Amino acid sequence: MTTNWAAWALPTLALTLGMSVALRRPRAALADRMDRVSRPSDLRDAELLYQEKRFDVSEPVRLSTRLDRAYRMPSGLVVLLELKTRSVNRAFPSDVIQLSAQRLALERRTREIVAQHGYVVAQTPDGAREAHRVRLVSGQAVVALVRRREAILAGRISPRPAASVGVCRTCAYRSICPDRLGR
Amino acid sequence: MKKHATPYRDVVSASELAEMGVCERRVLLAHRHGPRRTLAQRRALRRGLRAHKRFHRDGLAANEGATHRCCPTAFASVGRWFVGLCTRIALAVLCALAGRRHRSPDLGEGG
Repeated sequence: MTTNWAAWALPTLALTLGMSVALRRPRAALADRMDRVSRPSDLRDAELLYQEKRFDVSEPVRLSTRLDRAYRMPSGLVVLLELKTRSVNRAFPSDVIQLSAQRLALERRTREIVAQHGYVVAQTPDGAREAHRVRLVSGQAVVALVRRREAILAGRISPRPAASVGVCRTCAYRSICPDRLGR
Repeated sequence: MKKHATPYRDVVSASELAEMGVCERRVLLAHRHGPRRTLAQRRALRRGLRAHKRFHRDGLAANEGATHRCCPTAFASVGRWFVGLCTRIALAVLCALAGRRHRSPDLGEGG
């Protein structure tokens, strides 16, 4: 009885394994195709180079970045992409700063040539995604911003208030912000 | 030296730096009083983490497909031949076992 069970179980297991390997290939190819279709048009032929990858640099400033995705174009140029979940379908200046900092770190760590533009994919609460092409700022501008932040935290210079009143309306520091009366 | 709610680190993350583009006063307040989030912001953060997880999973699946696409043709055909061989052998064994089970009462009667 045991021999009979084993004689059935082994070929069945082999068949299941064979089928799963055979079916896996088209499924993976389909996922690749769907991913390419969902990308911005100029990234469709690009190769996904990094995702959720951390790059830290200590020169010229100490910077820690984790990029969502980086694609290598057929030309060899690397393009960064950042996913953002938000209620409005647009890119903000803060996204440009984040991608520019990632660009600086990636270039320093890998010596890859990173494009001066990147993509912010805004995902709205209904799950819809739209990519926004943004122009990144230079490495010098990122370094200057890091220095400015250090100076603000050290109390050497006064911080600027938010450019938009909408930011203050939803800010968790509203009750203790010295700027709140004016807004 | 002044004490801060957030321990001072000279290393800054890209997302912390991005806050400078939102409100510099908020950067200073977060540094002095520690991180604070409204309920809506906490929910948005959780939603963001879920979306990132899914985005990462989709990327992994797509990358696997791209690897298959880049697989050299000769290697891929050997793999397909091997999978086909295993499947045929398994099917043949199962058919043989099923046939033997079906025939056994006849054999018993004949004997």
